[in-house]
Amino acid sequence: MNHYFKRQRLGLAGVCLFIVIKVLSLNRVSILKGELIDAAIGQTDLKPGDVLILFAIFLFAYLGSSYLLAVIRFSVRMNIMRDLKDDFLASALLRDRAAIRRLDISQTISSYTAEMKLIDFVFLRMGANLIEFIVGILLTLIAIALIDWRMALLSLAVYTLPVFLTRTQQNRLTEAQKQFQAENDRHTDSFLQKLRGMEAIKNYHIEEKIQSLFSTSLNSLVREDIRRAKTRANTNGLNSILMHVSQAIIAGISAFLVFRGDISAGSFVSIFALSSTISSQIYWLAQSVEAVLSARPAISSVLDFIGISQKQSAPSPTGRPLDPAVLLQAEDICLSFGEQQILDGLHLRLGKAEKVLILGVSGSGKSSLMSLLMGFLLPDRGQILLAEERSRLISMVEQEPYIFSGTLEENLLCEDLNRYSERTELLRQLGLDALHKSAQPIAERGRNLSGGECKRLALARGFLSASEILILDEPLANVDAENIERIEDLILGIEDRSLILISHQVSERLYAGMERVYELVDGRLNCLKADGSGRCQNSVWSESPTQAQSDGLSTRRSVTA
Amino acid sequence: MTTKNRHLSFASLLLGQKRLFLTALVLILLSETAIHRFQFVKGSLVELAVSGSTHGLGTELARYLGLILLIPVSFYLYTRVFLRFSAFCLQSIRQTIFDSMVRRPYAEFIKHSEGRYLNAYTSQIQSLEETFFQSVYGFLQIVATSIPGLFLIYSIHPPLLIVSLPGVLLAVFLPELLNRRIARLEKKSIAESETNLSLFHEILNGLETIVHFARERSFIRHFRQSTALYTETRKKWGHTMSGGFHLSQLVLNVYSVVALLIVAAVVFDGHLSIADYIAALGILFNFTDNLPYTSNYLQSFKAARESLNYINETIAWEDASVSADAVTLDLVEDIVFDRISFTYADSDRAVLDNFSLCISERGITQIQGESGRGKSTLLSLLCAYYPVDKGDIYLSGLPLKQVANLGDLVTIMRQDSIFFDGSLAENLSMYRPVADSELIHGLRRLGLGHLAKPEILHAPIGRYSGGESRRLMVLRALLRGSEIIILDEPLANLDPESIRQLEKVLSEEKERFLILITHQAVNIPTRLSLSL
Repeated sequence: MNHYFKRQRLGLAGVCLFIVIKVLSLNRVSILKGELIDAAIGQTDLKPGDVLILFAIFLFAYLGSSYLLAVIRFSVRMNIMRDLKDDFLASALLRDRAAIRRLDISQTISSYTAEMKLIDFVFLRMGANLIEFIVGILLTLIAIALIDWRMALLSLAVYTLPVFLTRTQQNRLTEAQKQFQAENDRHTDSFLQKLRGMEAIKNYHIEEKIQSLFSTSLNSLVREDIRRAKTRANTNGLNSILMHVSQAIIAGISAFLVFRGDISAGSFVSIFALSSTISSQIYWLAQSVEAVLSARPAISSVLDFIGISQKQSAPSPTGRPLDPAVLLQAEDICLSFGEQQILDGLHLRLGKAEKVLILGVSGSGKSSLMSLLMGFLLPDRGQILLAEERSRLISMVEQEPYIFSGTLEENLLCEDLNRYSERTELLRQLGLDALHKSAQPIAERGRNLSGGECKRLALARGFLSASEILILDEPLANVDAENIERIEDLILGIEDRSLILISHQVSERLYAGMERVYELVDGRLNCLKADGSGRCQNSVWSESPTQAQSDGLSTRRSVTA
Repeated sequence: MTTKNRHLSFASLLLGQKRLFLTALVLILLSETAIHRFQFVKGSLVELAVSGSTHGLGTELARYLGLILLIPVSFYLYTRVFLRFSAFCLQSIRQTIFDSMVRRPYAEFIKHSEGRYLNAYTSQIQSLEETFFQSVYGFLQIVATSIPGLFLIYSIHPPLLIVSLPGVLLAVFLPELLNRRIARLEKKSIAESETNLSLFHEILNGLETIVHFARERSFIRHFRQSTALYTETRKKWGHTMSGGFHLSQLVLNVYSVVALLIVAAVVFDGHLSIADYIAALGILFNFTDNLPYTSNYLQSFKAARESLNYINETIAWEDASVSADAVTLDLVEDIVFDRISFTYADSDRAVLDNFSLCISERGITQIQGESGRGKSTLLSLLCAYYPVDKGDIYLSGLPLKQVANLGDLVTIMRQDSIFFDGSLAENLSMYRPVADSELIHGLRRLGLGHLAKPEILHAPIGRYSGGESRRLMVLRALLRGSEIIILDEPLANLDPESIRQLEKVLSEEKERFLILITHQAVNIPTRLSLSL
């Protein structure tokens, strides 16, 4: 957190300055009020006019500094929140790719809303008062010491004791906050799940069941919330009882001093008034300390989240392939999920401007292989060597692409805005020109587009990307006959970059246009076809496929035409 | 057309938890009255201490100790009861938001973005908690202390009340001048919060896509602009709020000096003793300290109203899909699209233009066609997600609007797979009682034999591959057995073996209207095949 405070150095200096001016002028205003009363009823020699002028000056100094303090404090708070939010999102995007897969969307949103609010409203807002209370307490203690130093020491001792007594309570508070946050994560997940599945809920008419599931989740959230509130109220109550008892002790002892004749009745009244000021200030101080403490789990959770990207910013230890002509080299890759062995000693090598097709039935591990190549998963054994940094080297069009709300142009995710004519031509070839011209805003998840339009839009992203390797995962799924041919043309027309095409079935034409074809079976790549050299570069490690298999896969093709 | 919105208002929220609210009110009145009473006991004790007398010391000490416990204990109870009160109020708001989302027709649901629901449900509820409920908490304390205070001033010298009232009113209501600005800024910041949260939500959902194209930096930039915009509006809001607070303080301080001088004149007229004068001023100055908070709370209420309005707009929906004279259909005899035209609201491209189709026989109807030609739209129209621009759709000769149980008649399987909390069995039966044997039989027919075991069926849902998920979704749709079943691309991304199995299963469904949307030819005998 210090890092964020440091960035607001100037604002914080302003806060300190105005706190001192505010507290000093407030004390002066209080005294002047008394003098004004005395002057009004003619008890002093002071002229009411003089007192009034002084009063006006200090009142304006007080209110002015108080206003500026509030403004600066609020700005500092908002700036810190802005920096936190920015870093929070950046950390989600910039973390290690393997960490991206592990990112829990619901938990992240819960953290972004609930925990951020807690930091904003509880930690920063209440915590900001800490300095003010401490300055106030010190000044009041000095005032008591001027009357009777013993009472000042006594007040200090008696009033600070409760702060330490509530320590155990504070641990409970932190614990309650943690449990609430965990419940809130679960609840947000439940809410988001229903948000995504609303059509199915409506369609299957399971509103009541879903409502009852949701109510159960909401009830446990409220239960945790009330438990947290109870702990908070208990802490407050304990503090406030201790404060009042302390006050009674002070009053008793000062009354005894009056009784003995050590101090005057007037001093008693002053001491009593000052010590109750301190007690209320210490009470609020305890409240602020408690707020700061209860926000601690939220702060550490948010900072941990942000920290992940900073910790892992070191480049992952992937080496480069020995052969400079090779862009990507996967060696002896093994991957399993629990008991299930997905990939088992897989090898793949991709050279410059090479087109490779990987065939495989559903569940054979094609998507896992892609996730490994993209770095979202890490292999259990083996390594992937890349000629260049992954983000510059590979782009991928996924099977279920995400479409963002906004314009079609924005959805192309293309940084280079100069290739206008190339872009227009590509959109025409993909049959997206009408959509492009209509300038229709695209809804989130591409909800107002058809499945095929989403797919073609995602393909346009891929063709426009500047990376050397393009991976297309099932590029022809959900695409109708008329477009299939055009997309095949585009795929076969790729010349200056390497291509990995993944599919469960392709047309003969596409099959023929590929330099190498593999089938993913039993966790390994079997070579079905190799152009040029006439041998499979991978066949060293794999058995050759049966003729029947390769026939079955190549002739089975989409035949809507 | 009926508007079914349970309108939330602050009054209805308070009344919903009447008992807790009244208990809290009684407790805070008790606590504040005890504080006032405490001042007098303190005075008596000082008097005793100064005079050195011990007569009545016992009673006063007992009172003193009693009050010193009563004040914090009643305040503690107030806090506990109040927090409970606010937790239940918030629960009721949350439940209302969710109920309104679930109960509205899907056509109404998709009028708002997911970000909007999320914003209402998270940020705006929290904002109500932080502004509204915390302000009520403080406001009640001030009310509880002010009423006895004003009464005390009145008892000292009635005209004093007349002198102090204008100041009180001025301080409370002067900041109202800023209210319009505050409401405007609040509204703007709610909208910006929605944008920010939508963007955050979208970026998280599209995280892998962004990474695939290495566009992290530009999304971060985009997001930064959004937080910066929100922060600036929020700052303006905060500065205006503290402006109002300090304006109120200024007015009160100036006024208290004026009052002080007026009252001093009264003292010289001999109406008031100096002791009473000081007591009255003490109470008056107490107001000076407290009242700016009152005006601040009032401003917070105004700001909270914007959050509540936003929530109210989100939960409001119109039931336009079913007319009053709707009829329940048991059997569907035919499905007729009669010269329908349709254009999406945010577009000028007509998706369907004068389209007609009559499906009169049960069995499979295949709709094939280039994407973007309106296949999916046609089915959304059949589900009445959108009203058609021209023409009408009829089931057994009845316009869709007059079918009361449309949702029971039509089942739609979309291309994305959705699973809910619970077991695989619950996800397939959609929480209806369906025998395990039926589920197992269905799973086996679709080549999902490895899932067809009771221990897997009743365990929480696991991770399924794309092909498995799709077949599970098909099974879910078939199990429901509604009159009309729509399958949107059931064969996409499946391998040949699964396709063969699925084709076999589908071709056996002869009892229902099965509408199949595909981009590829299928190996199933169809009643009707149509290209769009």
